[in-house]
Amino acid sequence: MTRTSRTALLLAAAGPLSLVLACLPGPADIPVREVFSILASALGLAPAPDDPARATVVLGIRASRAVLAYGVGAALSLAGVAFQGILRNPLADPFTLGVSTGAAFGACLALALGLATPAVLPLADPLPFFGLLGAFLALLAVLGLARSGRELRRETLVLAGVVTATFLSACIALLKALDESTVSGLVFWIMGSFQGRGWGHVLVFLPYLVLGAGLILAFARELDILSMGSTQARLLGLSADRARLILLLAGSLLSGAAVAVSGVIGFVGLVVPHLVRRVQGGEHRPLAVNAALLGGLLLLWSDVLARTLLPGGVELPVGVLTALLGGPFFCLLLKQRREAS
Amino acid sequence: MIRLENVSVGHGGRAVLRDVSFHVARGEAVGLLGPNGSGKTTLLLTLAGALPLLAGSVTLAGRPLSALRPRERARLAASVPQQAAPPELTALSVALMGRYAHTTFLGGYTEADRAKALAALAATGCSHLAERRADRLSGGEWRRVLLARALAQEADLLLLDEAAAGLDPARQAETADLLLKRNAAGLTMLSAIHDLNLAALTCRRLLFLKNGRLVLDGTVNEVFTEHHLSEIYETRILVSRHPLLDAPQANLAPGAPAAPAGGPGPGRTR
Repeated sequence: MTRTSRTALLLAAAGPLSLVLACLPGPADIPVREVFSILASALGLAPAPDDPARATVVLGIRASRAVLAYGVGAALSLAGVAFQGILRNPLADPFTLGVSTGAAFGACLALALGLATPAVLPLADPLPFFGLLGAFLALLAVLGLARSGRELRRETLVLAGVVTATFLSACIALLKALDESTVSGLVFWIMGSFQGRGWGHVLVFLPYLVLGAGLILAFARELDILSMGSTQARLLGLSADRARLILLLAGSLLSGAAVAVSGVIGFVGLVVPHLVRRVQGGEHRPLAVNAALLGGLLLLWSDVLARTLLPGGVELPVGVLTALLGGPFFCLLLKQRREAS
Repeated sequence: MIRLENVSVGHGGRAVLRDVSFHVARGEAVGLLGPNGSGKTTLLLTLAGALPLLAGSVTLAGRPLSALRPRERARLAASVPQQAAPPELTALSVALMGRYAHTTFLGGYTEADRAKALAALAATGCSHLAERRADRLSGGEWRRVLLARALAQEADLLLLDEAAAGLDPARQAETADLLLKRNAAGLTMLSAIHDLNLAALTCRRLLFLKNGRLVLDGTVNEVFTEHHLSEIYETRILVSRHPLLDAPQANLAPGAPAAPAGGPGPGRTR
């Protein structure tokens, strides 16, 4: 077995383990044994628990939240892998490109205009769809802004992303100010959180995760080739523009849906692919798999920290934590790149 | 194999190649020569389908270039580019990219593809580099990995842009040897070379570009003369015979006294 697949196996095994452990801490004091027996009964391995209220806390609040955090972490990391590969820019991720804030604005606008009702898009909650729309439009705007002539410069791209994100954040604040009933939700969109998220959100989010991850894995070879640049891709027989468009869509799909269920959570898609690349190189198929697994773990544990760090059951938005961790990391990366070039 | 008729190509409105026409038959080994900025790289990128035509037509193996799908085109013509930044991938992953044109949509690389990529790396003396990261190779090693990538493509036509530049003499000789063998086995080659002597040794026919126009086209013995070379490169170039092989060799003469009257000097070319 290669080192890469050993890493993947290890990371994959850590997933279910972490999901179980993440159900242990919380403001409601439930003994460890009872949490285990509730989880076991949910999986059909044990008889029904005695206390249905506690079962609701463990399954309906903690477990669903852990699963969602895991999935969102995987989605953001996969989007980071796609964006970094296509744009050949190690500083790119859904947050630095303004894609996440675009998604948040799309979702907010849909809510404000009353479009987020099942009548608009039957069978599913339309919010992730509007998130995806916002994400893709923001991405196109950022790419258009950053493209001066034919060259797409690294720092210019991130600059365009940050400007777009700041502008859209202001638009979100404006929307919220006009619509007083939902002002309290402002922080949720700008500094993402998993507070109050349940199985419904998992169900809404899952199809987007599966589709986006599938596309990125299916186009991993193309990502490898695109990382050598457009001219090289053409020499090798790849229709670079089509592959790039599909991958940009997949990245928007993942970030849009992630934001629709959890708000803007920054830097996960930046830090995780970078760490994985350090260990196993840049081959995109193993990179995507390992980054998704590691990203899930990272956000799951960040969320556990966010809800247990402060005393008295007060929660920190998990986006605050990831920004605290990711900001310095981003600066380090920026400095390294500058010295290398 | 290649036919160009009145081809013009440009970047950003400025024509780099103007009205270029020539024909290369299957199995030929043709050198593409000319001063810096004469349009050699542009011509090769055009043939590989990476640059659009402003005017004229190009056919590869009897089919118009514009009618070929990207994968078909890459199965016909493989390129060794002059400039390619090494990615954060292993040398084997880069060589495997040569097999991309032979895979189907969504179908991955097969074991046969891996075997061919490894064989190509072995042919260019890079077997020991297969698992090394491309961005950590030396310049010469990276050039040979790019050559391996093109060989793995198994196209009938090989477009080389300074494939042996930057290699040490031993590697340069090995590479030239490999290309001569492949050519003898039927591979058609069009090779942009700055090294006049290497061109005279590895090609049968030479094309000279200058300022985007084709100024000279003929067999090595016809065109590799003091007269032609001195005029095209605008400096004094003396031609002697290779001590061992039947090929002319060019000699620059920096610091020598000016050419005697009646000696090689500017003359007329086509």
